[in-house]
Amino acid sequence: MLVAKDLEFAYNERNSFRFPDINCRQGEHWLISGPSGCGKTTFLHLLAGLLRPGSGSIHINDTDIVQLKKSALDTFRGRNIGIVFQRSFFIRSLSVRKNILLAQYMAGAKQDRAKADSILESLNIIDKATEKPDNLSQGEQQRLSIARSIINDPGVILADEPTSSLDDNNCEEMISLIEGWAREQGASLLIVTHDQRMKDRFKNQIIL
Amino acid sequence: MNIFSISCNNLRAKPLSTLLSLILFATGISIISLMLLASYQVEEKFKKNVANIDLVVGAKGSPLQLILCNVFHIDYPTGNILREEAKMVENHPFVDKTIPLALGDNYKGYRIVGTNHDYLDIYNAVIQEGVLWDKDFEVTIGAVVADRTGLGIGDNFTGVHGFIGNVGHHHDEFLYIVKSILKPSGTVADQIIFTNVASVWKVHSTHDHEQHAEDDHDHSGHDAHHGQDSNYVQGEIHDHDKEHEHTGQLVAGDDDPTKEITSLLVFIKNPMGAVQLPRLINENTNMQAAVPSFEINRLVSLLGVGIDTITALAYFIMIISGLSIFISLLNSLKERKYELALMRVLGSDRTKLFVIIIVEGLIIAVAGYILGIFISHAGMQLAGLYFEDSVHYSFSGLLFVKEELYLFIGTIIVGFFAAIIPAVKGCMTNISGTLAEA
Repeated sequence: MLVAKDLEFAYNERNSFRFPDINCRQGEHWLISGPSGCGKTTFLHLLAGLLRPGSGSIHINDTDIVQLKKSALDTFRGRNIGIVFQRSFFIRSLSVRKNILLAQYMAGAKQDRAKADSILESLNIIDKATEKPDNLSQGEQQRLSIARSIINDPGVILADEPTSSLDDNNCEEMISLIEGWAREQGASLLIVTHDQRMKDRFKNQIIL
Repeated sequence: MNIFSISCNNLRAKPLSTLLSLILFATGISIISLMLLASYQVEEKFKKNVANIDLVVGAKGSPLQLILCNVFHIDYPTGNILREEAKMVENHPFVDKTIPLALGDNYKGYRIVGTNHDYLDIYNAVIQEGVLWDKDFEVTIGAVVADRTGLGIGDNFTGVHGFIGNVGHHHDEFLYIVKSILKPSGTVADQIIFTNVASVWKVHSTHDHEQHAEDDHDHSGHDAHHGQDSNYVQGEIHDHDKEHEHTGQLVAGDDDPTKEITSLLVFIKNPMGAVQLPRLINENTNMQAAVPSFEINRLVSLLGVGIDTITALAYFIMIISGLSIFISLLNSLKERKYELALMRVLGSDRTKLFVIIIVEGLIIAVAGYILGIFISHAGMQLAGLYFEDSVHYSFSGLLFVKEELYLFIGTIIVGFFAAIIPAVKGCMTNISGTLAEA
């Protein structure tokens, strides 16, 4: 579960944000939307522990990540938060499979090749396991992003504009996959987007 | 998946850049290592072969040549000295012991040296099998001679005029016989064929004398050749291919009071003698006395300038290569800032990123070290083969010196410091900002 209270963040004097509180119970799916420049990405980065708020608290399960020291925060994030970005980021010189194993290694989890392969298989990219990420199609890269975000069974999955650059078909597939996996793992899902196609799918919504 | 494999992978991703840094580093290391190996082995040979010889007395000329010829058996003699004059030195109160040397012939490039058994004591050379030379034309051969020429106990052979194998006249009438082989001593004794002085006299004695009287006019040119070695190389161009009275070549019939020897190795009783005796000999006789350690130290210090310069150049190359590693790592940061941010997102803390980049620097440095050491030792081994043919001294590429360990420590330091700034920059990557600007 994820509970954020009184979050404030300022890049500088002129660029500061005050965010609404969130109370996301375990397994809930939330949509966070708003126009450009309203701080959606900033909000997500705060929730992911990639930025430190000027004030406020963010409880994921029972840990206030704002209070965590730097390296403890990194480890916590690797183990408990899966993140899908708008653009695909991979280690280009590592194969598809090794990119997944890397996610396990960085989170301090055991490197389980069988588990990695099983997820690749269920996302239909197992035949590209030894390929470099650059050789995958856009759809395959998205699925790889998803695979990486869930490999460590995180309690929270965050997605930053996962569908904004996709056509309708890919968009539908992407959202279904993310939602499906979140549901299967019982993980909380928060999607930040300005994509109007998402509007009607989510019961819980916040507009910034 | 671990830090080492991640770092290796990153290096493989930019192969040319990595290769350049590696080769530069290996070049610096190999030059330094080669200098270390060469100077160590050369100095070791100097020390071992000079041993406790205090003085060498021989014909006037270059003192360094005197030492190189009569102690190291590399260079050509400066001439001969008279037995009578040599006796003066032997009888001098400062002198403990002397050993005569008679040079002139060789077998397959290995010198035949006329001397007495005391010579072996200088180098603690002992017999492997057989009996020491005793009667005329009996020889004892050093371990390297036995190994390279294939001579064994009981074998006969004839010596060849001069110091280069097979160029001069064969003294076919005189057969040597091998009576013993020495154990390897790691000294010049290994490459010498020992016999008594009398044998060397006999080989170059009376039957040639009439010939020489006739050919006197030809020899006037030879006297001017004292100390020069051109005669030996151009053996064939002499208009008669009989024996000649060459410098360093012994002449004399039996019971001839002007019997000559090539040199005398002198061992001194008291330290004062080491100062006085050479001066006495140099100023008052037709001979010269040279102190082996003095001449060799002079040679080493002359060579030392060259060695120091080359070594300084090599250190410079290593620094440049450190710079190359630094630049390569720094450049790669820009290309992979997203990857670094990604690793932080996945759970890596700053320290891990720092270590990954440092390890990249270390891998290049250490790999360069290994390659450099391999090249220098392989080079030394090859050079050793060459030197064995030319001067019979053996140099090995299999020897390691402890300074190479210091070199390794230096390698680690260079690798670390080349990587430290990129590593700090890398681990300070602003995750959020980097990802947002994608």
